[in-house]
Amino acid sequence: MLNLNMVSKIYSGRKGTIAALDSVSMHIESGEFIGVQGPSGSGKTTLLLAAGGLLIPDRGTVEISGNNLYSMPPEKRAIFRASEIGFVFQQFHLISYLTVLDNILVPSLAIPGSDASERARELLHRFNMTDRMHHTPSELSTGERQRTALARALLNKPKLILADEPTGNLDRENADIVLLAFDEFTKSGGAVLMVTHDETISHYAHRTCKLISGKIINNGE
Amino acid sequence: MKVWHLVIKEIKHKKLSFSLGVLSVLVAVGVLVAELTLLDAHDLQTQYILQQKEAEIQEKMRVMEDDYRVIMKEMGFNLLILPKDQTLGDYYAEGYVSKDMPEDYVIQLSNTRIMTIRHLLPSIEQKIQWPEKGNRTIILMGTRGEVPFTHFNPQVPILEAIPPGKIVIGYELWRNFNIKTGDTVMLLGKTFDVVTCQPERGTKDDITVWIDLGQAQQLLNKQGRINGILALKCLCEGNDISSIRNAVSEILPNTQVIEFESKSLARAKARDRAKAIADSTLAAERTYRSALRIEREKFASWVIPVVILGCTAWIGLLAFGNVRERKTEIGILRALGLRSSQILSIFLTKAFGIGIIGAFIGYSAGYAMGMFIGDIHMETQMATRLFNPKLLLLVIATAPLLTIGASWVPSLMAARQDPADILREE
Ligand SMILES: Nc1ncnc2c1ncn2[C@@H]1O[C@H](COP(=O)(O)OP(=O)(O)OP(=O)(O)O)[C@@H](O)[C@H]1O
Ligand SMILES: [Mg+2]
Repeated sequence: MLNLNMVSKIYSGRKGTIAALDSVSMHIESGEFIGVQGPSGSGKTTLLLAAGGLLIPDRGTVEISGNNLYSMPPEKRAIFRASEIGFVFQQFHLISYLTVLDNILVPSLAIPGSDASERARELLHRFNMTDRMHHTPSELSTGERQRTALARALLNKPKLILADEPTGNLDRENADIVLLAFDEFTKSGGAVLMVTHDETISHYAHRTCKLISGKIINNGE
Repeated sequence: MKVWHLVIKEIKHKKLSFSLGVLSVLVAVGVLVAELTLLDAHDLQTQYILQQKEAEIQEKMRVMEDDYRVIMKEMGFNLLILPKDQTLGDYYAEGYVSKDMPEDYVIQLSNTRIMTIRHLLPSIEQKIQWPEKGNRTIILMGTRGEVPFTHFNPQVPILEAIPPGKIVIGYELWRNFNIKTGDTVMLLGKTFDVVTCQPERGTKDDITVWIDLGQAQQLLNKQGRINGILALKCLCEGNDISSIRNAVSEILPNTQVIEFESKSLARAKARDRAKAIADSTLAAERTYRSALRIEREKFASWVIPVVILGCTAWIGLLAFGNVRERKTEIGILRALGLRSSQILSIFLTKAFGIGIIGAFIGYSAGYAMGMFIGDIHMETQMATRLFNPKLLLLVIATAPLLTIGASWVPSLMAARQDPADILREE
């Protein structure tokens, strides 16, 4: 489903060159939940952005469902991202001036669908947020914020979820809600690539890779 | 959800920055509309003021004309019949008549049935030295009472005759020589009783003495001669005295007729003078208004571009600030699959909204302002004439173009922003 083939990303600045990703190859099937662990600065976020079509690698290819992401024109890649990929971030990244419901509906801007609103209410119900749907993010607890972000990531029914330390700011209870949701997502045929420091990932993830200095040290197999 | 949905929500959330944007469009449009409305108001007012003034003048002229007609009817002309050989230039220069003609002429004239001439007063005058008063130069004037037209009922004479042996003395003379009514004075060896001391007139009358015509003729050795016949209250249609001239010259071919300082003449002159003054005030008003118009145009010609430029720059800055503070949001929207063209449209839609709303409010404010400065009241017909739908349409069409233009670069920056930069900053 997701196929990274010898992906490299090198930052060269005044203080020298940094290989954020160094010939990374990775393969994730549908229904798989993969964790990536690694120290700070090891290239985890870079890996997710490259996998999500938001960062053009210097070398290597990224394929999702057989489509080479970076050979698409940018506008087409954006639409592809909107329909195939859901992002979840550590900082939630909700839009502050929109209500919970509207935040969940934002992905429908990219792919207008008549059933978006219905689907949003479904997700609100699923994440137990129905009574908060007219609140703005500043009025929510951190757990509620991440659940809103989860609902948003799932609105367009993506096939892949890319999550960057989604539990990093959460207590155990809320972290489990997120991980459980990913587990359900994979059971329904989706793939999850999740970057984390959270050790409990091993309870949920099928595999956990180790990334150090932009290199996959252990692919968890 | 649509892009405009997002735009409206953002506007509602950030009312201040939106209001500042609208305000700057309002100012730009307002100044433009106010200046143009003011110029229009100026033209309307100029038209109005000049019309008013013209009407005023016409009315004044009409009143004067009426006056004149009434005076003509009541007073008629004062004519002076002079010997034909009297040069008028000399007469006007010297102030008295040097040539003479037979006294008989008066009788001839009074015997005719000429209807237009009335109240004939023959007189003789001559500039002499007054030997008894240190040879002082005076004008000796001999008059007699009115010669009645034989076919008219004798009316009250207009000028009283001076009886022989009596004298009337002009202001300068009695004051100088300390003469009072009731005194006796010597003139060319004859004694006269002073009957009247004339008040000051500021004319040659002040150095004139009046005595009986016959006595004057004797003293001047001009028996049976006169210098002129004063014909008072002559009537004629309109102000055409040529008909009288013709009539008189038929009867007395050796005379000439001039119009004497009469009330009607004075009125006519006053009317001409008033007309000239009115014309010149009208011209002055016209000049003033066009000078004011030029001044206002000049002011508008630099104020409008300066304000529009300033506001455009301000809108650009606001848009730039908006894009900067929404960096993260833009990154997220891109991650969620929005195309960069959609990001562009988010900012440009907002700019369009600012332009449209600013244009509407700006037009209203500018219209009100223009009328306020132009001193035109809202309820008047002028106010409706100043409402300019073409300008409104123009403003509504161009203000959004202006705001979109000003926001173009920041919006493009937003569209081109690399989402990875933001999303990495966890
Ligand atoms: N724009 C950039 N220019 C230069 N170096 C960069 C840039 N972006 C990232 N890097 C470097 O690339 C490396 C990988 O960064 P990345 O954000 O992927 O790390 P990370 O594993 O996500 O770290 P953390 O756990 O702290 O989030 C880091 O050393 C970082 O300093
Ligand atoms: Mg990171």
